[in-house]
Amino acid sequence: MNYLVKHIKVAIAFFKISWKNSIEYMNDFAVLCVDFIVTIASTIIFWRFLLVDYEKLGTWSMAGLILIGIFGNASWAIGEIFAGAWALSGKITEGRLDKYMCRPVNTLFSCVLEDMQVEEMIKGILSLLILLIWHGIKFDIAVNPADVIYTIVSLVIGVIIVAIVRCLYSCSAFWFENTEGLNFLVHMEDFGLEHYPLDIFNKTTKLVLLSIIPVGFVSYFPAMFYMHIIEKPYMYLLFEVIAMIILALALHLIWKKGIKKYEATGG
Amino acid sequence: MENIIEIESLTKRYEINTEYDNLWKRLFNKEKKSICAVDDIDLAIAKGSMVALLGKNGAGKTSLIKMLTGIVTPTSGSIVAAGFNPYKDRYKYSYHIGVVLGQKSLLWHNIPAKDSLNLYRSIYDININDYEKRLGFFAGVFDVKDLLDTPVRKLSLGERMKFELIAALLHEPDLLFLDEPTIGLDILAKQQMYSFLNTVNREKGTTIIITTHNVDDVENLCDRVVLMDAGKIIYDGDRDGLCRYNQTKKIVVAGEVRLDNAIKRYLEKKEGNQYVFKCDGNDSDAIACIVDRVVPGSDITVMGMDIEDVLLNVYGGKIKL
Repeated sequence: MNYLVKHIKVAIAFFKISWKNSIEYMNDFAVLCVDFIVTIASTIIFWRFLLVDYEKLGTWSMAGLILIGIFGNASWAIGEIFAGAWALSGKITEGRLDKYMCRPVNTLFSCVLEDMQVEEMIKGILSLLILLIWHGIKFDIAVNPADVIYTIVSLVIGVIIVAIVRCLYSCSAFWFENTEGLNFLVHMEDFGLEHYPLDIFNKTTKLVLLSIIPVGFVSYFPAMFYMHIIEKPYMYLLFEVIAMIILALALHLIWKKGIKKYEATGG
Repeated sequence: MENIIEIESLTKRYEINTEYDNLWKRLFNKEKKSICAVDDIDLAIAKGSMVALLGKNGAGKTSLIKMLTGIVTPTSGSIVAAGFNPYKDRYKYSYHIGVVLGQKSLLWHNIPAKDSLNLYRSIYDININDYEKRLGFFAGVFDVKDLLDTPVRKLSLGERMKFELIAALLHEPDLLFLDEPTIGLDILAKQQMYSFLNTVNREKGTTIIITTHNVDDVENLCDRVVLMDAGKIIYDGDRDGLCRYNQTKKIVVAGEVRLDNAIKRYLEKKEGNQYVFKCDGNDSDAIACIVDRVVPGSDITVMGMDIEDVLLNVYGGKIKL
């Protein structure tokens, strides 16, 4: 219990440091918000042009497609709280895990949270709130509180799942030493797949988007909960929780093996 | 005196893949080259001592330090440090050590140093009263109280190093490992660091182990020197004892010398009107011969070899320890 409490305190300390770091450059924060809204505007324009002759894509209306885009983009920003997952492979290959291994804090925890980008996370949350309000007014969508809670929980789990998968790819650096080959998978937002509903894809692609490039968890699922499309949302939530636990266990095992290799080779 | 570190028959071998450039061969090739970084060494370090770990590049110093800090697992042998096995009990052991490794900074660049130090308070579970007392002590000794609110990126290198040391000492570790702590520092900053480390060692009883190529660090801090070469310890003893291995005398003349064949072989270098001669300290005839040829009015200084000269001769193979 002490171990857990201690790590929560350290996480809060990392949060404060990241926040202080970001208020050093407040102008950047305003630029980030503008950047986010411009990205969403481009999503809206994209779907408006694509669906000019059609009312829907599969079972998804324009309102739903834009909502998927909003959640997808917001999740990348909110996920910057685990920004250290991006830089992990570099720390491994350059032998920079040493300083983390000399501290009485979980090494992976330190590596991932030390680089958190609080301003990105706040940008994501604020932009998400603004855009959801706009979306509700624009498309005349009423949301009930239970759906909002499911959406928030689903989004948080989705962000954690994406961070875990990024860490898993980064762990390959323990063995491959240079993960340029796998780095493209770490940058999964480059594919733009978070803008599309899963049900337009075949089974294999759906599986990929819920595993190898798990963007389905950060856009599709939250949108489904928000628009109350699912009859038994708790079942889907349970699936997400189980997926998160399995991936976390896999990361724990792979990380342990990787650290043993790092220790054997002196970093 | 009680030992804080005890090392027995410690060996570290690295298995290096010979097919480094080819990913697939690296994955499937079983041929590996074995490099022995630390070769069956025994070492005991007394509590409260200050030890310099010396050796040329590739001698095994960094591998030894990494095993002592728990970052690297030994191939064979045992280490007991502060009552722990560093690599098996790393979590608990890390409460008892402070580490400043090379240029790997412990501080965050854009925020005041005190905020970085506050994070270490959380990491090492230091209660707020102890933290403020210790920070006050260290900041006072280092005279950096006025810099606590300055972003680290605005500090000079010397000031930054001071805060790096404070970060490593806040939790009052039993052992402090320093890797090249004075690299890039000016003379004043170095003197301040020496004074700080001597104070910490004296008042807190912290055992300090320094790897360095800077002889000034050895002369100002450490009574004991451990010299490594090719993974083995070739000297382990006091600093002055190291100099006694080399009986060479250095004769420095500022002025004029009648250089002839009798003394030319002893001349090591001549710069302007400064002459440096070297000869065996037991060869009184040679010394007399040189002194006789010094023109009256010149300055003569006769001295033993300093540590740097000894190390140069050891690394160059001219002295065998």
